Amino acid sequence: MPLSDAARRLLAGLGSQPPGTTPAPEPEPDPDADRTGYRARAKAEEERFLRAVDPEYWLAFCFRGPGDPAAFAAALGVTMDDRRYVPGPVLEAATAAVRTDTSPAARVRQMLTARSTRDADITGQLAAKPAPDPLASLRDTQTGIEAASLAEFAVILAALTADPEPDPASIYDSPHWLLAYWADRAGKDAYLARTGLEVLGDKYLDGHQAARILGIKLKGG
Amino acid sequence: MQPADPIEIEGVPPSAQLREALAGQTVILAFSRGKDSLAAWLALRDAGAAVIPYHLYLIPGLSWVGESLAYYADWFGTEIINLPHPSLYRWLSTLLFQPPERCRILEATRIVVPDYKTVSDTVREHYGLPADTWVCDGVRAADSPNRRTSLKMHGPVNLSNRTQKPIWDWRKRHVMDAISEAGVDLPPDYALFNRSFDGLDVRFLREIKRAYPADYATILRWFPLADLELARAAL
Repeated sequence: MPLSDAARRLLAGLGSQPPGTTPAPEPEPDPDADRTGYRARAKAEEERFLRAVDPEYWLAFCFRGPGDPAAFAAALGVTMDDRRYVPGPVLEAATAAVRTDTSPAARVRQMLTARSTRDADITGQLAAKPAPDPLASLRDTQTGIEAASLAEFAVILAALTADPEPDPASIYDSPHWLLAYWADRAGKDAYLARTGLEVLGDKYLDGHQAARILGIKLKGG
Repeated sequence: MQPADPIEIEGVPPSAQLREALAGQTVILAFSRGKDSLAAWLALRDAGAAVIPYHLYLIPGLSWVGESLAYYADWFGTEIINLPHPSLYRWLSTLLFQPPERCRILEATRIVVPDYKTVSDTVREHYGLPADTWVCDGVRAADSPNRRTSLKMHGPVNLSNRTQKPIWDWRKRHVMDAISEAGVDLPPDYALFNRSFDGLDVRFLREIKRAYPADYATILRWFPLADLELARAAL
């Protein structure tokens, strides 16, 4: 069976080579030539690659109620897009005027505040029923490893795409969130350090605690 | 095909010697659809080995991946078993590009990330092959300094895992020549990304969104926040 017509059209339209032929290879660095230069280029390329594929450049502010993300954005004077994303630089500009005390004493206070509310959240989590294992209900009725693997992933996907629990025990599992993103991890980390939000974590943050640290009040919150 | 001017590393047996020893044997091939594993398949076939390929998918059900697997199965006249890649398990277990509400579900799933040895053992078992059946791949020394160093230190044959690298000393032009001479196509990945699809970063996602929007939607069903890759690229 040949490649699909669509794939061939794609190849014809996108590449300089006609379909059915192989693209010309890019020159490969000669590993036998200049070992020092080769290693330096390789190191630089590896660093660039790691920066390019490092996915830890975003964070989610998690909230209790469905209106909270919009209230948080409004209090900061930023606009979420339809996916509830806010560019990090926009968030930074909006919070530049927020006078966050990042002195050691203030950091201790922030950590204690965060811990006291987190402890309350942990109590809720302990009292809550854990999420069921989606795979527990899977019966091994498939013959062959291909079909069995696909059945397993189908069950996982069904669980992931089901309607989320609107008010989970832990705020960190909430479907009510606002997400901020930067160009890279360093940008996010710098923002967390500057604002003092780093005491809350570096990926899934309690949005209500974040509001307190940023000195904003959620309307109705 | 016996390429002229292969990479040479003192004390490491040339790949032609490895392929010669595999003549008449049944071997498993880790087939990524990339140029190197495709060239390894051709080289093993030319050496007289019976090749049983397996492919590992990163996302279930991507159309162009399935189409190209069907093409290679037809071209080589053999089945290509298609199994989940360890990266898929790893991405899900580490909550890659997952919104908060999915975390507890994935944590409850308690995903165990298989290693490559487990995968190849599974393939051997599936085909009822002896435990000492060789598993081959298209890894080459010229591909990166790390691979060259690894080959220099450990060689192209791993006796305990029963793996070997039957084109380890080929240069890129040898790979492309072998593919061109055989008359087999590279997959659409090369027109889109100039390499085979192997990650969820912007290099791949931007082109997939443009060329295969339904597949892009499939990726977002698994990793809803992967579209951040495009958003951050625009910053």
